[in-house]
Amino acid sequence: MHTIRAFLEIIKIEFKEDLQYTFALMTSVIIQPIILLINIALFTSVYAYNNTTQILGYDLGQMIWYMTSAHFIWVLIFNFTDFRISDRVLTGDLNMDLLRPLSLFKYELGISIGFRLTAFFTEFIPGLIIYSLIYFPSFMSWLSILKFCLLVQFSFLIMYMLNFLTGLSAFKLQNNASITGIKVILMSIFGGSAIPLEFFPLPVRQVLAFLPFEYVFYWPIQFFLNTRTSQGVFVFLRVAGLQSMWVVLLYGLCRFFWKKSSRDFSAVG
Amino acid sequence: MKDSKSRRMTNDVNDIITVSHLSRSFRVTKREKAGLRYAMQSLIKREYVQVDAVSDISFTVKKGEIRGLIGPNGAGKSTTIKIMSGILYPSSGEVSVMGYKPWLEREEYVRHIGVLFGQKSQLEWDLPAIDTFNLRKNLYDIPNEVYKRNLSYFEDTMGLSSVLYKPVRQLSLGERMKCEFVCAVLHEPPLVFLDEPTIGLDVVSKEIVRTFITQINRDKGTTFILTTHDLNDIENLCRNITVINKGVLVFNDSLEKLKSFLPPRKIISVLFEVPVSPEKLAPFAPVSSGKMQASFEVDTAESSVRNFVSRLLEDLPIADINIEGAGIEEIIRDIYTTP
Amino acid sequence: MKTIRLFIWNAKIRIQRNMAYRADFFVGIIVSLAEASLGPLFQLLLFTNTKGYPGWSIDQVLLLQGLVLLFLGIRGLLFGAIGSRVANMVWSGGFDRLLSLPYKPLRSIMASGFDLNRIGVLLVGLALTFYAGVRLHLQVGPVQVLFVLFGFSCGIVLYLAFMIFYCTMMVMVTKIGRIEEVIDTLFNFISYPAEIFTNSLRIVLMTVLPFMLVAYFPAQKLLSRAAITVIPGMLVCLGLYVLSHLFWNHKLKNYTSAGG
Repeated sequence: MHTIRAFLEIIKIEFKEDLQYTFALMTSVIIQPIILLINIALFTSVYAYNNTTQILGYDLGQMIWYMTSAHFIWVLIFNFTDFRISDRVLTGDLNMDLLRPLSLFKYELGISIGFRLTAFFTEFIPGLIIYSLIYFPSFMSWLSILKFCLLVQFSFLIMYMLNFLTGLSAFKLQNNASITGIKVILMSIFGGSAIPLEFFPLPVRQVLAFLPFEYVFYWPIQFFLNTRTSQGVFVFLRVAGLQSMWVVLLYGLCRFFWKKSSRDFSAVG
Repeated sequence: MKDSKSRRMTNDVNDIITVSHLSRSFRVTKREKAGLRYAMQSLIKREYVQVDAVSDISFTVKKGEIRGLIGPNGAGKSTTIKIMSGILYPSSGEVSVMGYKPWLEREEYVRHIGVLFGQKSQLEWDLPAIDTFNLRKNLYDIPNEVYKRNLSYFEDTMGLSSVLYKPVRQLSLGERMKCEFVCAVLHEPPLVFLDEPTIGLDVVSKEIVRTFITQINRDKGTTFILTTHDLNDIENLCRNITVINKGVLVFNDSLEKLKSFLPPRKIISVLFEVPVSPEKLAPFAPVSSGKMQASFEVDTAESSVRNFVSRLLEDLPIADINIEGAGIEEIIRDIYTTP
Repeated sequence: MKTIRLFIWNAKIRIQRNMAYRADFFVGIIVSLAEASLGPLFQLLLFTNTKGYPGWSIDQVLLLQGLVLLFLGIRGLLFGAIGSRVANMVWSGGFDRLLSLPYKPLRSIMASGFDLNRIGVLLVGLALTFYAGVRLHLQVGPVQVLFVLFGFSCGIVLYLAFMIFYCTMMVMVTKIGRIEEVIDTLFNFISYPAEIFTNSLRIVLMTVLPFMLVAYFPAQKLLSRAAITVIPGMLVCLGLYVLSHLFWNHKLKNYTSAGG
């Protein structure tokens, strides 16, 4: 089908474009060690002061690596789709997208995949090697990494669609930089990317289970860190199942709002 | 092409575009004053005003035409083009292009049109143009042989061989516009919208683009809708023109007809070998004159140019002579500035 | 001074522009606030789930976090927009336009940093500091305020030094990555008390990268506890600032424009 060929071509083009800027993309290799350093200092001290090997189910190594594993997920799922769409809505460049015989959804998805494909090779792999040299992740296992890789793809799709919806909000809100900001905050706090969800009181956690955010970060992190919560096939299937459910739901919302928005679209001169 | 039996609005098979009583209005925020205080007021309350971009426009375009769509800035041309290309909804009225209702069937419809919007790019900025063409080959499902054939055709006629493999951001404006043009016609659409295709181009490039348009129109029967401010484009390319001003259709006929509104005049400019006194020029009633040059107007309905020029050559020491027909700038300017 | 007038003019335009996008304006404040609060929130949650840090009670940690937020608010309000402005400018080749204005380009950039969104951070920082101060029954006199201002000033000078290095690099290498993020990540150090760090790291953070001066030092002074030596750190801040200007001036000479 031509759509698939066009789709693959878009991924290829984006990959080619981004490869030119590998230097720019590798700054996380500088940033993460700083964070890792802070976390090592902080948690070694806290664990020593508390005279314990486990805090809230995490051992020292896992706690230190928590932020870094969250970082890896950001690296693998991050995309600019919301900015791209809202930017083009405001400048009127979106018109050119409407003239393309491929839906904006598929087009941007291809771009996002191509974009992260570069990051996989320039940020994820080198990062994994370098950070392991700073503090070796002895908790990891091959199986847990494999599960992580599978789940993070669902995370990617969920993130993409949340960004797509955020981008669409530009049709109504003109300048939606704040929505983007809100989304990032929600991800960080409720997704468990900035703070492990175990720190939050139980009632909060019960509510969070109904939102998509923890399925983007928190759960894949559990598998990356190979924590006790992530052991067993059942947990894995449950998480994958819930992620798929969110993918389907968000896809429906994307279709609905795209139809609505493109109808209301008044091209800016 | 769509089976348009059920969807045709006109009985003429040769009409590729039919626009009928098209209107489009916008709701715009009223902004009268500037300044900090006014900005804070607008935080609480906003006033809106209705702007009629296009009012009750009707026209048709036949297959294989090169139609000029002109009008002053803000006249409603862009709005009309956007509606015809499917990216804007009309407020009222009907538009049928190749049997499609553009905005309703957009994703299918846009496969069959090409566009060049002078101010917006369709090229990937950081990659060579060839990559964009390759992408479009996949997007528009262009068969391999057609793609290769067209590509070499464009390379030859537009001199693009050196340009195709350089990143687009390194190209000059002229080179980039040529590549944009290729984007518009690479997939051999029956209809192409060109919005300011020659803007910013040098004389040579403009000529190349115009030749190109004429050639494609002739060889493939492609219909072109051309929006431009360059009247040379109009004179060289278009047989019919549609003029929109303040959202209203003010002229929709052939270029010949437009010219027929012009007073039948010729402008004759001369240079003298030696200075000529005003008294010697007086009998010829010059429009402007100096010691070494003068220009005259001849109303061809009343007297013959030949006679006038003969008399000039007899009586005055003419070194050089130039005879021009009145251009369409004047009539266009009149149309644009009519309230 | 010309630069201050330019700063005020820029600020006015920013405020106007912010008001033009109503929803965005109000939400923007909340978002900046949420962003800045992640750090303190984490500290709070860490504290409530563990025994905390050696030598620090929760109110004392709140004081520290309050000062951190207050600093980030002031810094962000005055100069928070520099990074994105420069990034936008260089990307679109607008730097040339800047060079044609009757201001020194660096001054122009620094005067365009006003970011109204950060006011939320500033206010919450102030509130948190005040709250913690009350709970700790702190005696705050002009001397203590001076110490706070000293610490903040060092932090701002350090930040500007980094930002000028960043701007210089932006102008040199157009599509540079998230250097601003690196700077912000480095500034994470200010949120933690020196006690948690190893000896060697502590010395680094008081001298070469004097982050301990910004919030930790004022907090210690407010708590009437033994403070750190600040002279080396202060000298480093000033030195880096001067160095950054020299770097900028040198590179400005080699400048070429980006894009068509």
